[in-house]
Amino acid sequence: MEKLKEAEEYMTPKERIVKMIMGQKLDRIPVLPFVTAAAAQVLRANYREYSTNPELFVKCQTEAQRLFGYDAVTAVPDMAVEAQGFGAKIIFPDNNAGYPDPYGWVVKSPDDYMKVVKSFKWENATRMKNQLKVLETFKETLPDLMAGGNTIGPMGLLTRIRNPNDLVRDVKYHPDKLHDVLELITEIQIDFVERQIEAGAGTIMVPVVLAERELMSREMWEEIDAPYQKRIADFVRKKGANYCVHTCGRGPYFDSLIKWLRPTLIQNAQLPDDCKTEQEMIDKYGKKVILLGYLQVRQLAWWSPSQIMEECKRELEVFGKSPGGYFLGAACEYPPYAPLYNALAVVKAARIYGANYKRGGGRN
Amino acid sequence: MSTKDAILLKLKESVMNQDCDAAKEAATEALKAGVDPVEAIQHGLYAGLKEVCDNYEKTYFVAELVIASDAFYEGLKILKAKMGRESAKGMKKGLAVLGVVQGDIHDLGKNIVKYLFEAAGIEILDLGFNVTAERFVEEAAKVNADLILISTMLTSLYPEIGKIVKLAKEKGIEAKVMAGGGPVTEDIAMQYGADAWALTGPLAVEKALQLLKKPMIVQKSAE
Repeated sequence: MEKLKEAEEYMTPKERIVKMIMGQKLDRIPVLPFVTAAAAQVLRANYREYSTNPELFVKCQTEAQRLFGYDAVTAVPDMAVEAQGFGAKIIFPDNNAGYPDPYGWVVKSPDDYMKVVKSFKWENATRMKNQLKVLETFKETLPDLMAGGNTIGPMGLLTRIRNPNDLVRDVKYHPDKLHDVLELITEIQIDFVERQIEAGAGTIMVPVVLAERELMSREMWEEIDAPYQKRIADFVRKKGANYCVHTCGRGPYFDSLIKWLRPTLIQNAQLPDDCKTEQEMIDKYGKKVILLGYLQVRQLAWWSPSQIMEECKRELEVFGKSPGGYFLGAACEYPPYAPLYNALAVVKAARIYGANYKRGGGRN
Repeated sequence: MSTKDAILLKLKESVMNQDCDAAKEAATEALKAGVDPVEAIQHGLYAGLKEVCDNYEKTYFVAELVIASDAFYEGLKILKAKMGRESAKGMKKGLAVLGVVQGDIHDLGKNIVKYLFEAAGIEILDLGFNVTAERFVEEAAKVNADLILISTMLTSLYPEIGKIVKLAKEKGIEAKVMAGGGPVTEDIAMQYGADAWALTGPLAVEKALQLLKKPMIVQKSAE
């Protein structure tokens, strides 16, 4: 029977991530199962409390990282943090992530865009301030860990304060009004990002989910979203933080994402629109960006830990050979409803099959 | 090309071109010319929306789908208003309750499915978004639905599919369950006990008609 020997760890998680980005040899591959809302489970907190109480959020994140040993913690409870700052009422179910009240959209007509966004005030943005508070606490209490912040991006925010059906119609019928308001939102989000980096975020992750074949044509994305996302990406880099793109739909436009945003990392759940195989993705994009993923939500939810370890071994063999480097991890958020034993399996796989990792080197 | 075929083509193209005004004009023209509203819906509007859906992720994307659906619906409203009771009855192939699961507010895909099903003759009771499992099942029981159509865009809400299936079984509901939405794959739908899944709206219509053991619409060319 194969003896499963684990890596001898001599680096801190932060060192591991930084050295991966610099292309140096590691004690083991960095591992990020993206235990975000699922971290509430470790202290048996419900999601409402977890998402609204920054002290409890920090406790859950800290305890989950301590138990499982992955390399980064997040300060983001859900995707409705910024929406609250722009006046959205957020609904917090006991058993799932918060979301904006779909019966009370803040922007009711195209004429409301500027009014709503101009009324943004930091003193009212409780959830954004909580996110900053979490990052400050992590900086003090977990200095060896990489802490991740985020912004939902300008169009992402609009999907949280305007009925998405109507937003889509505005793209066609009121593009000028959208461009005007996107300018303003971008300024506020750059401010938010700056505050997060100053509070301790070493990485800013942005879900750029409109740059996907599943949702938008490449031309439309480059017209309506890319110029604003680029300003945020440029700012993150200027401040010395890692800029990471998250995309989880079908056919992400990797070439456009790289051309416009120059991300350090891309976390994706599906193959790029111009690739048919994983190997083709590595051949085309492996030199241009560090890959992160590619464990699927359904695998983490239903597979056994043994199956997960086998899959991690396979992914390390394939993506671990990507010349730009690879972070083993989940392609999207760890399913909040799933048992956490598979998070343990992912970390264990990194320790066994990702020992003494050097980018481009494949599995141990 | 006959006048009727030219009008059917106009209806189809109005949807493909995402032109609401053209759809209204073509629907009005169809009625004036004495075209059967059922034929105008199925061989004009439906053919256009099917073309759009079949080319989803190639030449049409979500934004185009929404505007094309708007054009479809504008035409449909005009044609349905003039449809006789017999025609409407003859067109009906089944009844489905449709909704987006609790906790999810993404209803773009759900709306497109609604339009396609209605055009194919499956009556829809639209429950909207953020629908509890209990409401799905209660409404299905109330109207004696043939189908329960579940949509979600959020991976964190997959278990809702299972909740609805389980509750429907407990309540003795005989309706077949279909699940879909952006990230939902066939194995996820099956894992949670759904009877069917489809990648796109038109494929969902085909699967639904198979489940109902009803024939597909005969697609006459509008050219």
